Amino acid sequence: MSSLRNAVKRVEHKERAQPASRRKLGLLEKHKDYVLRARNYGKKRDRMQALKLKAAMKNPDEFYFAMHRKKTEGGVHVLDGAETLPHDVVQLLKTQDLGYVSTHRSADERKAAKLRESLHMLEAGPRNKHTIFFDSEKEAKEFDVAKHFDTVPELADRAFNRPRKDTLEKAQVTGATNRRQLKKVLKKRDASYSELMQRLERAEKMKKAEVHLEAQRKVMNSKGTKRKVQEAKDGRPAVYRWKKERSR
Amino acid sequence: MKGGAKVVVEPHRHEGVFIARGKEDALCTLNSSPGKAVYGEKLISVEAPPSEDGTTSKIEYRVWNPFRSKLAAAILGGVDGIHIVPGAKVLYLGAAAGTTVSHVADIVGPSGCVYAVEFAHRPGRDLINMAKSRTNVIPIIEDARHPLKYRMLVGMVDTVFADVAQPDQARIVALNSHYFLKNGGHCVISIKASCVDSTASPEAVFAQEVSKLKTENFKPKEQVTLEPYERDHAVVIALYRPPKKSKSKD
Ligand SMILES: C[S@@+](CC[C@H](N)C(=O)[O-])C[C@H]1O[C@@H](n2cnc3c(N)ncnc32)[C@H](O)[C@@H]1O
Repeated sequence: MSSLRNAVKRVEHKERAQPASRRKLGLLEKHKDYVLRARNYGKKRDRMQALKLKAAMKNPDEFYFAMHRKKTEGGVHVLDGAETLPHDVVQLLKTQDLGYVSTHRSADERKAAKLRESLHMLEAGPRNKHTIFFDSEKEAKEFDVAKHFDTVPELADRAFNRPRKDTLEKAQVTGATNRRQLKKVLKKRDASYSELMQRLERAEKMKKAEVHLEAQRKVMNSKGTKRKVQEAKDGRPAVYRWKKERSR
Repeated sequence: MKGGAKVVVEPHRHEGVFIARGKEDALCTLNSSPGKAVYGEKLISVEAPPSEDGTTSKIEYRVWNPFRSKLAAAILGGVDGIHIVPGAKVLYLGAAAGTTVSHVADIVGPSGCVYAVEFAHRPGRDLINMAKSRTNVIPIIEDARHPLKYRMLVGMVDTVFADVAQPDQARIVALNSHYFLKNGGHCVISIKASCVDSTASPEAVFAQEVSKLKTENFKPKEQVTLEPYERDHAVVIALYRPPKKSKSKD
């Protein structure tokens, strides 16, 4: 019976794409994808099981040749190959670290400066002082921002641009004008500001790291007796003082 | 328009000045020599609204960095009037390499004129180069303390802008105004407190400069400090030889 059914060509059910209403969930997983995922899962599960089994079946008294070389010091297992690097090698590595950090700091600073050229912090609110001179006390008393600047009250506080009433009537905004485009544009602007902030922050952090590395390097390279006069604090490195010595 | 517009440009209170938003959030002016930047500033181009016959064109703006220009900082600081408008004639003292001058030239447009005075030769060269692509800029390499030397080049102006960073700036402005500024014209001066008196408090220095202007027949209108773009700087705007009170109506 079934073989007969197989002889007739059946409708091929194509897999659907993600319905439009669920688009935000991303691509819809197809059977093909499921198979890959399931195989991967199965493989990992089997491997875990095998390892667990091996661990459980381990003979604690088993001998390994590595045991000959291992030792403990005061009951603590010490690793071999962990001996300290020679002084001059460390010195070299430290200068390399310093070079790396300072290169990246200056790159960040340069990029931040470039961004800042066209990010003028308009919406941050005024931080300056604006003085207007009047002839009489009376004029000063009657001062009204919107009236003085010939603008609408809603824009009176917007120091970076208080368009005049006739500018508002005549001139128009160009470029993106509908709400959707506008939203997109503002999103881009916010992204630029966040990049600027991140770069400044990172440059600041690297500056700190640089100061520390520089201090370490100087201490390492120095000759003569030194004394610590101040502990490291507030993100600044410790301060040392060297004994004065005649150079010749 | 594919992909939609990437910027919004809103007109500013001061004619000829604009605010652009997009990847940038910036003050700008209309570029009077499209396609060319003067000092490496960013250019922003926008599709103009279609004209009656349906053709579209591009408008190009140049970003005006308030961290580099005192005038731009003052504009964003909210000054009432910069007195630099399309068609105005402006005497600009202390033009340096002409970065700000190029924006002033954009604002005044082809019917206006900027006389840019600078006495140092090195920035003066850049200024002259800039003036080659902006015909409304007249570069003058002279000391602003001796206006007689360039009186043949400069006519009457509507506004004197000064950013010479000299302790005797008020005197320099007065001297030039005496020769070139029309009655009822304005002066816009940028004061760097530490250049005038590095011991007094900035406020005291600004007040002192304002009173100096008063004795020179100027009537101060407003003063803005330039934070967060510059520290201890102010821009003062004053009216020259105010017309006698004739309008007793108001
Ligand atoms: C602070 S810079 C001006 C910057 C310029 N306004 C800008 O925003 O791009 C001051 C300039 O004034 C010039 N200067 C100083 N004293 C001057 C004088 N007596 N006559 C002409 N220029 C002078 C200096 O050479 C300097 O380039």
